[in-house]
Amino acid sequence: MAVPKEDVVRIVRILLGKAQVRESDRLLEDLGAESADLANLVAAVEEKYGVRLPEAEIARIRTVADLHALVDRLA
Amino acid sequence: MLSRGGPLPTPGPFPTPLDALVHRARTSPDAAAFLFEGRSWTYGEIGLGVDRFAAGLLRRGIGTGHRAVLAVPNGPEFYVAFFGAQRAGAVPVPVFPAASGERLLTLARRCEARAILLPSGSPVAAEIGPAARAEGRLVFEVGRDATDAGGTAFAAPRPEDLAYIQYTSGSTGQPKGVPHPHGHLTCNVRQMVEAMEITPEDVFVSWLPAYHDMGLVFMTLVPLYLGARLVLLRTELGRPERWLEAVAAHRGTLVAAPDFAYRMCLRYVRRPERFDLRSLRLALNASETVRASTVAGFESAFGLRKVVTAGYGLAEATVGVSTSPAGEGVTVDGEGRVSVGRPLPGIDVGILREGVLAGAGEIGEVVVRSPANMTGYLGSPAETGDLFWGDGFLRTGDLGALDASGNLTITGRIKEVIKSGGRTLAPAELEEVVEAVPGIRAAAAVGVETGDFEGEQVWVVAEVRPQDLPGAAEQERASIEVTDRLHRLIGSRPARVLLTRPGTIPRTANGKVQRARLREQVRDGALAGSGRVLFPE
Repeated sequence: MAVPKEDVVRIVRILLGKAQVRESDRLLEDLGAESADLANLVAAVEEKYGVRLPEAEIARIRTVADLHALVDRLA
Repeated sequence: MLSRGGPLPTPGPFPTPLDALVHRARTSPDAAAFLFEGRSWTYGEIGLGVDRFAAGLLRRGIGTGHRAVLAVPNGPEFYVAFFGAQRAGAVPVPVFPAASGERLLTLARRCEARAILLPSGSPVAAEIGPAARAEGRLVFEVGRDATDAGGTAFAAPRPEDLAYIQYTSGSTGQPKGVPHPHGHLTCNVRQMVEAMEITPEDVFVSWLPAYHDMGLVFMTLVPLYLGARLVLLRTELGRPERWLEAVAAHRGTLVAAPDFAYRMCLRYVRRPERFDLRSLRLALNASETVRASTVAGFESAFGLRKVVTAGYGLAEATVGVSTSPAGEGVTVDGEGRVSVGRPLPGIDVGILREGVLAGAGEIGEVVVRSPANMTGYLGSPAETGDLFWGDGFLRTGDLGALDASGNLTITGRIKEVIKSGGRTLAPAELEEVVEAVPGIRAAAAVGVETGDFEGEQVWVVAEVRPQDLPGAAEQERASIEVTDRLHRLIGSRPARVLLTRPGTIPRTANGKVQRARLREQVRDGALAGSGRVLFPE
């Protein structure tokens, strides 16, 4: 099941409270996410797509596109 | 039953932390007061800064009894401002330093502050200067607005003079100012020193925000009072490695943090064996629910034994109330709850149940009697009345039980506060901000335990009329606006914002929000399944 990129971008927009989010944005540096926000994003996509993101892979997520790619691969 | 902490025997070396600082600035000016970001600050430097800033305040008419909102992040300027205000006889009111200018003005009005103290070069100073002056309040930049103190005679504070006002979440969801005199501050410092057997040889490492009770009183006033070494870090919860690196580099012996910070270390720090934390003798875990899994996980990951100590406290009792015995490890009850130990010296703890003190094992409201208890909230005599019980017992709003040996365990809470990411938040304050977003008619903020790692998180339920925000795009904009405004207010984001139909938030007959009921509905998923949530779909 392919996960549309724009759906993940939208989740990031809503949870981080940012009107403008691009796929290439880095979650921490560009969007100002903190660890708690990261955990929250992970929980939200896990719930929405019924997947479980492995800890080791979560640690490698840098950009919105990385988050999408990981969810898309597992969903 | 009552659990008694016993007497507080040893007299302290100084009447107040300010006296300790002034004394050391004179007698050992070259000794390090603390390290901050790789630079050592001596007592002489800080003492000079304090006197110069105090003189600057006095010159512009800020002095005895005047309140001064202090919005400065961790660093030397925080202490120059805090002690400088005290040195001038004024009363510092430390607040969240990243608050917006508008917010600082609101806080200054709320506590009737005559001054607002900001870091040197803060853009907020120019932004709010004119508005503040129009209200008769002066804005100071700590490093800049100092002046030669030569010849200024500063009066030593008396124990009954106010030392500071700590803003806290109160018990009904409205933020409250807790005024503490110098005597309380010194008393609680000594109580914690006794209970945790702290000596001048200890090395404190702290990133906790200096504007709030645990970071201020325990992690910085205790070492400054004793002359122990303090390694102060910027507050960056997102980077736990920096904390561990500092402990390893400076051979730290004492750290303190909420459970969440220890969980962060377990989740985000890779290869923990890189950090040699064997110098640690005490890692206090306090200010939110202490999890047995965190204690065990942290000790095992970093090769420590019986270092984590569980504690309990609240701003209304200055800060510290109880801790598990240092070096003995924590005890976990049959239901997996970690005991927060016995009362500190000079403190009695009881459990109030149906109007009387309960026996061992019975759950009720935790009540605390301490010489460092506040006498009342700032400007709220009505709420203060309900806050005390019997002979000087403070009602904490927390639920707990004592075991037969007098060990306290916290089981829940009555008060409507949110404890998230190591901070205690007042729901009413968050709701006020949410309700100012166009299209939102009413809002309620609750703390919900969701994921295993995240712990308690802020959930916002905001009622909107479908005709005011008809489409998904408008609703998304409102939701983003809520998150953004809360982020600006408290520095962290809510876990979820739910836009719902009017009438969703449970209320009493006279319209009071039933936050406890709403919290259950959110936690159990009852709200999501109710068909009342408009956004997100």
